[in-house]
Amino acid sequence: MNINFSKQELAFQTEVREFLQDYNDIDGFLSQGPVWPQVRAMFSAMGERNWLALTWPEEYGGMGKGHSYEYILWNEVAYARAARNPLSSGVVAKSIMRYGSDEQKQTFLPKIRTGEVHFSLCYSEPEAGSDLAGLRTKAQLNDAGTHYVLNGQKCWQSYAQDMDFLWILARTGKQEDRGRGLSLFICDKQTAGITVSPLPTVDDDQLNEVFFDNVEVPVAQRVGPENGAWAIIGEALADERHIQFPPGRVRRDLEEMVDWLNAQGLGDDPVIRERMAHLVSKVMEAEILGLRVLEAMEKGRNATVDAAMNKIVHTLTCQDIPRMVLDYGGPEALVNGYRPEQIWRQSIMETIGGGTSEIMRSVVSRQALGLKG
Amino acid sequence: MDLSLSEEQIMIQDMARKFAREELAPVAEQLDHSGNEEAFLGNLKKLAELGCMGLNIQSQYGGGAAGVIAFSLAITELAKACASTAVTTSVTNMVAEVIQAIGNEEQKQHYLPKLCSGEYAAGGFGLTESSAGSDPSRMKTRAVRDGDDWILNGNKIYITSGTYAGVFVVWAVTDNDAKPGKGISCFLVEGGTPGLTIGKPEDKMGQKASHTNTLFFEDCRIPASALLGKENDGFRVAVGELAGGRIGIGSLALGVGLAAMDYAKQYLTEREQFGQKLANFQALQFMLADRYTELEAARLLLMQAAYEKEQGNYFGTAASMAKLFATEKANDACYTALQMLGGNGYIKEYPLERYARDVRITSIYEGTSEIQRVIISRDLLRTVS
Repeated sequence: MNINFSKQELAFQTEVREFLQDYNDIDGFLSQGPVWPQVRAMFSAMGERNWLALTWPEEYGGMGKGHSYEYILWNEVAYARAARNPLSSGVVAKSIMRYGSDEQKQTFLPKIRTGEVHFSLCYSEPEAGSDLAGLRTKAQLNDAGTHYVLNGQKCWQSYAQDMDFLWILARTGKQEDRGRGLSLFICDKQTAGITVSPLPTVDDDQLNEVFFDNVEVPVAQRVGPENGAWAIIGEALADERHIQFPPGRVRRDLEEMVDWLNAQGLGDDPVIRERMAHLVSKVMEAEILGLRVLEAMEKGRNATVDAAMNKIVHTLTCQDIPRMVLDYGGPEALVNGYRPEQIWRQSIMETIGGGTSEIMRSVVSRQALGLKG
Repeated sequence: MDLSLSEEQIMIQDMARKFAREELAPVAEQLDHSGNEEAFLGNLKKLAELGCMGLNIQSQYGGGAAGVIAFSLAITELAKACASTAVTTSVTNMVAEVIQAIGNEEQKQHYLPKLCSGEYAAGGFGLTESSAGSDPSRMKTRAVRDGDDWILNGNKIYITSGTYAGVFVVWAVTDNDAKPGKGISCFLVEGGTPGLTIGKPEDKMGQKASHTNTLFFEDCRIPASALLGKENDGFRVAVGELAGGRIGIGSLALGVGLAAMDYAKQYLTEREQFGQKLANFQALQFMLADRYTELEAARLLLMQAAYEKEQGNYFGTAASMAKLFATEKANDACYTALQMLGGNGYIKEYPLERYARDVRITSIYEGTSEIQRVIISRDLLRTVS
């Protein structure tokens, strides 16, 4: 057993840390919306180094590196609080490589690789949150067979206000076919009939609703076979498990909270020290589970259960750290804009978005333990 | 043993519930976002007219003389709709109770009717300082005798209703040589007194409609008649009154927790995923059962503390236990309820995120959970011979 990175990987980590020196004050990880221009500029700078295509095959202009390089990059970016990994170079690009047409590959992959275009995922709907296969947004082929006409509503889309393109999951088959009746589409956000409407959130950022009102999408912008989207999004999800919940985030949370408690003169309180010791072990647990997901991916093992366990521990730790500080920080910790209360509000989302803790627990109980149901 | 409520208590509970539903609930979200002061103060005035600002104050001074249990019930009902209004009501009641408990006849006749009737929008409780939060005996605000007057100097922080309180009960050191807590006196300072400046409201995580301010005393001259109770006896009074305030804050937290769980319960019976109502999932059923059990236990602890106070018995430990348990479990209830709503819990279109923000302070102010544990354990260990 060896959980250390290789010399080459460590050299890359150093390079990433040096790169991030210029972006340490962006603060786009916890709340990206307000600083999107800076985040976008950083992605472009990464694109110049080809870091958005670390694991892409060379035939698509990628660097052909292993998952560990992506893990190191996005873990460092998370620790620096700079940004979250962009979905365009991950879910979108990897799906296009696997299932896209030659035209889609030529149109989108070069621009995604350089950080020129960005995508928002349009999956969830008001009635299809945890139960994604129940979604209702319809994509109906027109009589001429040239376009799909999209109608419906998406809900809770992150960053849709700032993205260039939408990556849309819509129903092309029957409602009762559930996951087997869904297709994927790429659509320019400026297309007529699309309305993006903000949903202000508890952390003073926003999610979005996206409405489709007779939106015409050329057949050429469907990705993969009709009614074949379920497998595509599943594989895309599997491609990204190692970078979805990088433990650098909780490590940084912990360090910031320790600094804050010390600055408040609370560092020598025995009760706080005991609680902090508990949190340190939680952070280490998140770190080791994050590495375990990476190991499974590198060895080609199915990482579904590892990723679910990682998400449960990681996101609860995200919440435990600021909640502990608010328990002991007194009223000062509750004044708006102070780091503990900001992280407290932001962390509420973590056990909900990207699969709730309840769904993750059902994955673990069913797939790891074999409990029926 | 009889755990049922009296007719009068039920009547007050119903009245508060009706007011909360009809007057507070429709504006609570707006108050949270915009801090519409006019609407907020209008509601305080109406609450005073309903008798909610002096629930435990004798009728000869304009109070309702309804008792501590009725006070607890009313605060819980108000908090179900608007925690900001509930905390302002709770603190105003507490200020009135301090005056009733230790004020002289003249002070009681002068201030209590103004607080109970709503002539004063609210009362303020000026105890906390920047270096004396959980340990108020270390306060630095000084009151120095100057002829027939007292001159106050110092700052008080996190004072509820600072902007619009008609009168503040203010604690200050009057004997510099005494041990911490032994040389503190209590004063009545009217809003607008020269030398008293009110800082701008804090930008808070929750309970945003209620103002929380710093009070700056700079050579603030008040008459000798403003001394409340005996000189150098103020700290004992503060500690006693904080215990009463804890019943109010515990009751408030209970209201917010119940509001959150009631909303989530309804949501579970309406929302479908995987072809069935969320209410059919046993994992969610058990979360619901646990949280309601905890909130019911919190209610009983609060009733117990309120009963002891109403009987004139020592109720400090009971109030601390009730406050500790109710506020911690109400926090848990709000987080659970928010999680049950999933993505809808996180967005401002639904009230769950407000409940979670509003409830957070309850285990901090009026004595943090840790201070409650100190009080409880000290009382427990004192009984060991």
